[in-house]
Order: sequence, then structure tokens, then C-alpha cells
Amino acid sequence: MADTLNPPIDTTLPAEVDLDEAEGLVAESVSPTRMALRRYRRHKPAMIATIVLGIVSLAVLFAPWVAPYGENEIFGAKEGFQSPNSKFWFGSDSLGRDLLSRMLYGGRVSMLVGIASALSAGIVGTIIGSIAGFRGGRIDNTLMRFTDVFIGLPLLVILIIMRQLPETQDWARIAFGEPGSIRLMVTIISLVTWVTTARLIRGQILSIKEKEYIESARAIGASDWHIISRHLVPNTIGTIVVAMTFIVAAAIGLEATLSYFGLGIDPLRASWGTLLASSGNYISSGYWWLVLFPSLILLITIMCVNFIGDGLRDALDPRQDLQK
Amino acid sequence: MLRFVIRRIAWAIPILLLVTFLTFWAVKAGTDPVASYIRANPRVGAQPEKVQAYREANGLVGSLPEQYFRWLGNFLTGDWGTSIKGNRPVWPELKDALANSLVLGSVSVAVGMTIGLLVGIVSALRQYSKFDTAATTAAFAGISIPPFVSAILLQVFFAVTLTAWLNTDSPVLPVAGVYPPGHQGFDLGLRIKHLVLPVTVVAIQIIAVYSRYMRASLLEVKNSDYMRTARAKGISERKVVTRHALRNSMIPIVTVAAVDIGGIVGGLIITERIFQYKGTGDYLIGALGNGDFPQIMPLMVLIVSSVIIMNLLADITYAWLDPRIRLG
Repeated sequence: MADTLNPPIDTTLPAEVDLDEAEGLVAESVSPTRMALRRYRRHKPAMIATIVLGIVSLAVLFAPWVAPYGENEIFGAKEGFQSPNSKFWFGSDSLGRDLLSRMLYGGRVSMLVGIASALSAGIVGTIIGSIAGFRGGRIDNTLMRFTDVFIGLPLLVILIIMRQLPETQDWARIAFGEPGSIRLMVTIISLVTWVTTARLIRGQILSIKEKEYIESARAIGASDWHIISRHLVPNTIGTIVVAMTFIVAAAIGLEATLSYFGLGIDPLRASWGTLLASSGNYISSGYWWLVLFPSLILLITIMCVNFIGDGLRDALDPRQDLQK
Repeated sequence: MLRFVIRRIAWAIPILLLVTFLTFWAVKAGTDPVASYIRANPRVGAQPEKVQAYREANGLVGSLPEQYFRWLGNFLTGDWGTSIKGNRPVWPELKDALANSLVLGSVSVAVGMTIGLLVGIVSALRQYSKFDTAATTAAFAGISIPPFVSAILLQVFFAVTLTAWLNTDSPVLPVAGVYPPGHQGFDLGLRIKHLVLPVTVVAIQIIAVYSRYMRASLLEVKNSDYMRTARAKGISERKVVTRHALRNSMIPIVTVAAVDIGGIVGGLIITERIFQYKGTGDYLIGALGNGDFPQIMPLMVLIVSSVIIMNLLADITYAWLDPRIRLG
């Protein structure tokens, strides 16, 4: 009976023909990471920025080998204020120090401040933001009111005021670091920048928390820790990385600004900000290189970091159209 | 709506008190008025009774909350005290600085917003065109350049480079001050000339940020369903853009603009200091150098309150402009 109703058909296909392929359904399996990388490579400004920033970072990192002279190698006033030439590629300053070398060494301070601030602000912001988002309720409310107040205030004004604390208060010197130190810069910049990260992460966690897969994880009895570490963190890591990139850019700019006004790094140390600060006195004297080169390196670096952040944001957003 | 407004205002008052208290504590701890007083008057350092008299005359006795409320009372009744250095009344100097800053700030905002929004609109309407790419790159440069860097680069260019090229005796554009040294009275031409460079510096930031906001906002609206509906109804493209797209895309901009006052104030402080423009930024950094608590505190309170008030206005405007907002 059965045989007459359903005549046996040969369901086995010739071995060399793949049904999916025949119907054009074959898709190469691509991991999310590879997709993100692909999107990032397609973001032209970000790729250029990565290369440029890579070169700058390597030069700065290996300053002792790359720089033609030492950070404080003084050639004397006789060789001071030389415009760019074969001995001093970027010219020399009042004491006859090589500007290029000082820029390379100074970059270590500026970039260190940028990266360290981003790391600490990113970590603090992520922890507090995820607690607020995950726990909700009163903790969340208090935190949001607090960040409301913080976020509108002029960043620079808060920084200037906080910068003054270690000058007069012993506890602030212990907690924040000595005036003029790198630690003080990193501490106060992180203290004002973690707020944005916290808000971003909280927002993300709040929306992910309601997703069905979290509900199903809960239903099968997953612990909070499991949900946070296996679902929430991997899903917000993109936001965290992007937020931290933008903090790097902001922190480098803030360090330079504060140092320019004598409120940042110890003026005796080279950083991009202090180099510009000491050049400020010579603006009208026509020593243009003292202003131009540190400005350019600062602008190029911050711009590259911003472009990379933009590229990462696009790359880590899976909704971005692949075919575009 | 009215209930919403009242509730928001009611919220703003405790926040104002809390923030001014924190500011009071931070500024006082950071400047240490008594130490500044002794520094400004070295001879009284050895006379504890004079220091004590200063403390009492300026309400620096008792617990911190006590000091704060005494200060708040004085502030609200218009008793803003005298500066530590030079013992001059605070208000007249602060008033002049505020007036100058308001001029610089409002001109920069007007110029920056007009250009920024126009650039953003054109960018969005011609997405991925050459103009759009150029504007995007320029905006990135504008966002990335710290205002002090653009300020000193402009100074070098106008005071040194251009002067050398054109062989003029004086700089093409003045790079410092509100008026030339020793100038008396009002002169519109000179005033504008002195404003050009500072306004450029502040406006660069505003243009960079707002052209991006405007572009993003208009693009989002452009792809929404009601735009398609409007087109389907046969409304002319021009009307679709002006009536539907632009109007709706302005809503988020208004909010950001009001909240962004903090960023503008930050830019002003830097710009004024570098161009020796006698505004609040110059005043603030000068006063900090002397640790002059009575001079700093009123300005800080004004900045902080204007930020909170602008935030409040932004919330209310937002709710008013967009009926979809739930007045929660």
C-alpha cells in the first residue's frame, strides 16, 4: 500500500552536487569578529588613522631609540631657536634642545595619560553602569541623578577646580597625586569622564536585560554572574571599547589644555601640552616651529583616535549593512 | 504639561543647592581663602588676631554647612564681598567680565550655529557627496583640535606669518584684548576686529559638533515612514524637506544646544585666556592664580546655575516640541 502511494524516489543526490549550493544558499560561515574586522577595514578614514596612529605610537614608544637626541639634551643658547634644519629636523627651543626629540618623549606622557585615563574611567564606568542597569531601583536612580548633575557642568571648570585641591589639601595629595604628576592628571581626568561611560553602559544593559535570551537564561536557572559574564558583558563590549577610545582622545586634549595653562603636568617635563605652553611665550617672536609641530602632532593624534573610535563604532554594530 | 513643568522646577532646586554646596566645598578646599589672604598680605601672617578677624569678617568660622548657608545668604542678598587681592568689591569686575563673555559667547553661538546647521543640512541632503565627505572630515578635525591649539595657531598665522607676507607694521587682525591698549569708550569697528579671532576659535567647535548632530538628525528623519507618506501624498520635495524633515530634525538639536552650554563655557574660558579677552575665563584663571575665593565663588555659582537652568529649559522645550514625549 504504502509503496503505491509513495513511489520510492531516489532521495540521494549525486555526491558531487550540493543541494544548497545548487539553489545558491551556501553562505560562508563568518564569525562576528571577522565580520566586524571586515567592516572596520572598509571604513577608510579609520584604516588610515590606524596606520598613522600606529606609526606615531611606535615612534613615541621607542623614543629612546628613535629620537635623535635625549629628552633634555641641551646644546646651549648658541644653538637655540634654530628653525628646522638638518641637525634639528623640527628646530630647537630657547635652550637649544631638539624639538623633535622632546616631542617624541613628550608623546609618552601625553599618550600614557590618554590610555591610563581611558582604562580607569572605562573600568569604573562599566562597573558602576552595569550595576545600575542590572540592579535598577534605588541604586540606579541615585546614580542617574548624580550623573545628571555631573554631565552638564563644564568639564574644564571642574578639572581646574579639582586640580587645585592637592595644592592645599593633604588628603587630596594622597588620593589624587602630587601637583604636576601624571597620576594627578589621570585621576582627575578619569573622575570627570567615567560618567559618560557609566550612562552608556547602563542604557545598553537596561535594553539587553529585557531580551528574550536573558529571560530564557534565567528560566533555565542561570546565576546572575553567568548572565552578566556570558550575555551582558559580551553584548556591551563594543560600546565599552568605543567609549574608551573617545576618552583617550578627550584625555589627550584635556592634558594638553591643562598643561598649557600651567595646571597640568610639571612644566619641566616634556608633554605635548607643556611643549606648547613654553612655546606660547614666543608666538610673536616668529619661532613658528615651536608652535606648529607640537600642535600638529596633537591634532593628528587626537583626530586619528577619533576616527578609530568612529570606525570601531560602525564595525561593532552588526546592523551595519554589509553590502553598502 | 503645567504639572510636569512644576515638578521639573521643584527637582531643580535641591539639585541647585547640592551642586552649589559641593562647589563651595571644592572651591574653598582648592583655594584655601585664609592661606590666600596671608599670601596677599604677608605682614598679617605673624598676627593671628588679624587672621582671626579676617576669618570672622568673611564668615569662615563654624562647620562647613554653617559657612555655606552664611555664604548663600550673603550671595542671595547681593553681598558678594571683596577680593582677597587688592580688597576690591567683587561685583563690578565680575559684571564687566560677564558682559564681555556674553558678547563673545552669543556672537560665537550665533555664527557657529548658523554655519553648523547649514553645513549639516546640506551634508544630509547630499549624503556621500563630495561636500558631505569634506564637511565630515573638517568636522572631525574641528572636534579633535583642542580650542587652545586653534587659538595659538590663529595667533601665529595672523600676528606673525600674514604680517610678514604682507609686510604690514601691525598684525592684520588684533590677537589680544577687547580693545587696543589704552583705548577709551566704545568703538564698534575696533570691537568687531578684536572679536574676529576669538569668535572663530569658539565657533569652530560649535560648527564641528552641530554640523554632525544636524546631519545625523536629518538623516534619521529622512528615512522615516512619514517622509515617504508625505512624498506619496504628492507634496513637493521642497515642502517635504522644509515642513516635515527640517522641523522634526530640529527637535533633538534644541535639546543638545541647551545642554551644551557647559562645552561652550569651557571653550570660552580657554579662548579668552589666550586672547587676553577680558571675560569670565580670563577672570577665572586669574583669580585661581591668586587663590581668590570671593572672586571665584560667585562666577562658579553663576556657571553651575545656568547649566542647571538650561537643562531644565531643554527638558521643557523638548516636551513642548514633541508631543510624543511622555511627561513622566
